[in-house]
Amino acid sequence: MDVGDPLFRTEFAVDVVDLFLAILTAPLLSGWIGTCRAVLSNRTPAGVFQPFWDLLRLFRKEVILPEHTSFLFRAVPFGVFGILSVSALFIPLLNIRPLLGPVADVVVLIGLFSLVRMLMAFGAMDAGTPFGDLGARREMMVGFLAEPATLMILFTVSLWSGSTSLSRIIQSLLSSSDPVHPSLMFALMAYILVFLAENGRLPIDNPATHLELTMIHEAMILEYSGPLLGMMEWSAHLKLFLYLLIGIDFFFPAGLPAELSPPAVILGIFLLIGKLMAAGTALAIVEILFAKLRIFRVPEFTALAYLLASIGFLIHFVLEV
Amino acid sequence: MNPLPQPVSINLFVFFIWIFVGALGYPLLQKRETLLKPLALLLSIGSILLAYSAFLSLLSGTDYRFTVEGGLPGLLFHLHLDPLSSFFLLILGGAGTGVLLFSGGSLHAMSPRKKPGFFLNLSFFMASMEGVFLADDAYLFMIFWEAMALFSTFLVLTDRDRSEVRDAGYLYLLMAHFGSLLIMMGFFFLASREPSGQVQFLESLTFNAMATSTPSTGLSFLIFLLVLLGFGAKAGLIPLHVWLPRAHPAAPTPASALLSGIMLKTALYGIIRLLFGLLGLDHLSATWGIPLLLTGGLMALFGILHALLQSNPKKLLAYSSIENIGILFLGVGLAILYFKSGHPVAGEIALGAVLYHAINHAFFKTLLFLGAGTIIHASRTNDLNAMGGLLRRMPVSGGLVLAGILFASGLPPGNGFVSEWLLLQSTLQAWILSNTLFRSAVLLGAALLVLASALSAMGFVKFFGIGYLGIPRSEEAGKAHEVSFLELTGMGWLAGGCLLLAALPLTLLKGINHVIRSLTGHVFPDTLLSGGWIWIRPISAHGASYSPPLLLALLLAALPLPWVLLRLLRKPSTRTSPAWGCGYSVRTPRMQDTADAFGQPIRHFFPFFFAMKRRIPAPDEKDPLLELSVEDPHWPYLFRPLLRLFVRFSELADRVRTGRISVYLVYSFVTLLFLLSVLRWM
Repeated sequence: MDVGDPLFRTEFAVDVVDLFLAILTAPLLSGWIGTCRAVLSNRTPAGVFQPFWDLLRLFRKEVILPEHTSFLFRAVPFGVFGILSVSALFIPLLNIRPLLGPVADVVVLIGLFSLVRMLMAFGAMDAGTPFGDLGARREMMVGFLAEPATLMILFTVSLWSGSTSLSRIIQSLLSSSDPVHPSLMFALMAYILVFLAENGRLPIDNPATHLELTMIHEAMILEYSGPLLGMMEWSAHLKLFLYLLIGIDFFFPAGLPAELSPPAVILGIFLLIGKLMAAGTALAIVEILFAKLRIFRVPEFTALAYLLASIGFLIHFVLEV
Repeated sequence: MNPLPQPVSINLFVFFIWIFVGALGYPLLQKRETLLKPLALLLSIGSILLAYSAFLSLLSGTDYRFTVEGGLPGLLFHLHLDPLSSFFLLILGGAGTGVLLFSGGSLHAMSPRKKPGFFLNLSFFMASMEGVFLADDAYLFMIFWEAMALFSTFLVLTDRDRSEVRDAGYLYLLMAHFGSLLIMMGFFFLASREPSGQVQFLESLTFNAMATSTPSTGLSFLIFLLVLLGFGAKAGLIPLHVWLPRAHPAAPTPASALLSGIMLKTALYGIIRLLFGLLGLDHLSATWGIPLLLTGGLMALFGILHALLQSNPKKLLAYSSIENIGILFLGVGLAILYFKSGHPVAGEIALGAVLYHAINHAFFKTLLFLGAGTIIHASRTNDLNAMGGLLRRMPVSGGLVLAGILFASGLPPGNGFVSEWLLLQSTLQAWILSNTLFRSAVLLGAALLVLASALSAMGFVKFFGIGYLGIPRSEEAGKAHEVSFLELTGMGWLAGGCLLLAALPLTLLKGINHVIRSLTGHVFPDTLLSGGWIWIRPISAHGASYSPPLLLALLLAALPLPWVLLRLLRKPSTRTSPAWGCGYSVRTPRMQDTADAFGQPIRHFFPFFFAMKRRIPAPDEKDPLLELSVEDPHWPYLFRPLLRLFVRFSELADRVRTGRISVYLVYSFVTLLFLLSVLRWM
């Protein structure tokens, strides 16, 4: 496509809007989940905008660096935030054919998320505190347990399009005539489990506690403060949002605008907001209902995800071919 | 005789540089130690020349055979430079340069008595590896193969005053000879198909003759097994891997980097040369790919699980090499499976990924081994549990190792990811296989691959996090200092190579295309080659795509952006304070995580892969002591019983030997009678 092409300019504009929407909406989604959780547990909610106030407060503070840290400690928050923002460029939000989409397929995206995890582990271990090490070790552990299941989900989902490119997957799902894909239902169940594990939500990790025996993600960012902590928090919101977005693209792509015409885009925006709110509510309900698992029960949890995704894969060949 | 083409003459020139510099260096270094640096530089100049010429001949697809006077009567020395050789020569020259530069700076610490011998072995070792890649007949190949085994054993035995080094060297030599025996048998079966006369047998020892003959299916399978086990002994194929984690760490740092990073690739070269080149795709069967694929997958998992339990950084890296060799085996199995079930595109991608991973591994593993050597030297211990805080004290080499870690973990935008991505794309084509057994084998292999690569990220977090981050755990680690300029140059060369491999994979994939064409007759699909230097589109124009240079550029652009924004908006004030200690004021380095703690969940989740002995003290014991020993299960369950059996057998045989001459005379008499009766019966 030519740079002077009007279509190119529209797509470029939509992509830029998509990126900023993703970065700005991400804390809002966390706020919505927090509000739902508060309402469900009979507390007064702090409001949907609370994460923004938290971030604003953090960005106003000074940076306190722990002694004995190297340049890596300071570089990690920027790395994490930068990588997640770049990943947002490849995930369709409104434009199902992002200009930069071909740069990275889903396998690359999963790899980028692992890179984020690794950088965070380095940041945590740099301070040399027992908590940081503990959190880093546990986070890497959950990561390697969840990754085979993630791959199996990718296998299943990519069977429809024969490709791991996200926009290709969405297009083939949108154009498919079957109303229900049984294989995808199993993949969806597996994805929910992986989603919970990868984002440090209950029942794997409790994002709301600072109890040393249970925490994973919070232990890793314990030594960060001020704007650096703000970047880490914002990155966590962004990661949650992106994972949810991938889930929506895989399993509920209906309503994503196939063409970039104003009515389709407006409809797409409203549908997307609805889907995100529904997913957030569902997540809040899951977190209210379940208690945290013992850390050594996590393999069973992820093995279940792997099994479900494998069943989905087999069902594709039994029922859908 | 026609003049040799330029790349060939450069190759021979480099070979003689290495031989001459090595041979001359021995007496020179005995007289003047300070000559080490210029001599090592001479070796690395040869190495750079080799990499340059190999790169050119690979891209132009040079295929040239020639003979040199010598060898057996009726069999001249046959040599060749085809794309496969060029590719592996590129690995040797490229990664070798970094190691040789490093050794110029690092060897000053070695005792003057050992220096000349080490230098001689190092240069002869490089030359014999080059010979392995250039040989074009079985006889010459075996000469160089054995020379390589011998000089690498000498390298391992450099510190032979330590008993564990002697044990490791002995074990290595034993395995190397076991492997050579099987390889020779493999060559014999490949060659002896038209046994009609002495001279013709010798002529059938050239690779050219082997490639044209047609063995039966049974014989092909035998050759397949012999090749796998023979080269597997060199590559660390389970269960023949037990020497690897002992021998690689026992050698001085540059040598262990060469052993793990480059010498393992000679085994891969042998497998690809013999299976695809000499035996030929026509004589392989798709089912043979399955055991190869699954063994590779299990080997990858086994290797990385054991790597996670090691607290010696070099041992950790040696086990991680087993993992990477497993990935290579998996890819070769996948390629055979796809090619023989009629899906050449997926097969080419798998084979291409194997070759690409081989060069990636050569670069990042040598870099990491050199890094491990620097921290072992700086903290004067080979225990990760006594290191820590080294990134602050060695920022440049630490930064280079960090880069190596990111490249090695198989994460984007690193070079390890490019090959793993290609391999995964190839496994994702599993749906085109019609055979359910094949399909499930490929899926299982893919799951093992992903599990191993995720675990390897954890292993490298352990290596870097415990070794370089945190607070020094010992006094020596606290006094560590940056390494010399030449060492940094060597590591920087390797990190630069990784970066080039990460950013511009398509340049090299075009060369790999020549390799695959010369081996299988197939070429990469047009979509892959038409991507310029930006896009990798392995399967089809609308399928999956990945653009390493664009991703790298985007990441480099995005990383400083938030930093600049933060600075522009309001520069936050910064101060330093002690880390949060839960209200306790005492904070000692021992409160940090240990290397062993990282392995604990691994032992818990995968007990099947370890032979563990644990004794938990009773509550009322006076001196409670928790004892734990973890071992490679192949020792207690396979090799030690074998050894006991062998000793038992020789003891039985020993009873025959009484020492009395009358008994011996009876033995001779009985034997004579037996032989005579045999003659009578015939």
